[in-house]
Amino acid sequence: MSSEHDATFVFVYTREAHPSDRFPGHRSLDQKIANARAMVDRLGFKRPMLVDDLEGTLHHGFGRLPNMTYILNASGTVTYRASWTDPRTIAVALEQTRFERGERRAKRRTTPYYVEWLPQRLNDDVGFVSDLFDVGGGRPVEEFVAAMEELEGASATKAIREWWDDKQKEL
Amino acid sequence: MSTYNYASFPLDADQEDFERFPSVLPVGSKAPDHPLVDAATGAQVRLSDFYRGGAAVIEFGSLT
Repeated sequence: MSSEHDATFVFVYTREAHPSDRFPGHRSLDQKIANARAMVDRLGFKRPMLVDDLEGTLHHGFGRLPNMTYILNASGTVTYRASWTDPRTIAVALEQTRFERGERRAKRRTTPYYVEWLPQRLNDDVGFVSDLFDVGGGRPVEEFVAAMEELEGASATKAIREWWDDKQKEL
Repeated sequence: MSTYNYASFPLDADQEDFERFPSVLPVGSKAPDHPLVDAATGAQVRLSDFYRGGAAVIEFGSLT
């Protein structure tokens, strides 16, 4: 998939979604930028890392969710927006962008229409808390589990709890 | 300290924001273009610097 050539990819750094002692909630813009640079280093980012202001002004303007993805066209108009970053639907949107670019180049007329979509994504809770533990330690894991149980009940966290019980025996 | 930069993960886990999301910044509207800092250089940039040449995919997130 040649998606890298279809669009420019950037990452916008928001508030720390799962604060830990190692990566706490930001108290200064410098601290936020340092965390953003740590993310670039840990994950080997090649795309630009752009840091929002401390108050999260841009983040608020786009909806303040922790892991959104938007696609903007050359005029800055929103053409795709998702409450979660899922490469599968992004790939579909970029394929559509390729089609539209082809039509424009061929000078064929196009007309916008409107779609709403409710896709499902894989939810690897155990993988997520394992990575969260590696980055931030036990406190963000415990807080995430508490929030999930508050929202969805204890059955929703059964697999995570089993992972956490095993993990704590190792430590 | 504002509640935006919370010190602990909130028990409601952004539920209200998820519920509100469909009506915030709908498709077809112009995206906000507030200044951002390029983490590599420290320079001030805007999203418009990146979508001017064509489409831009904007991912939001944090390390944790």
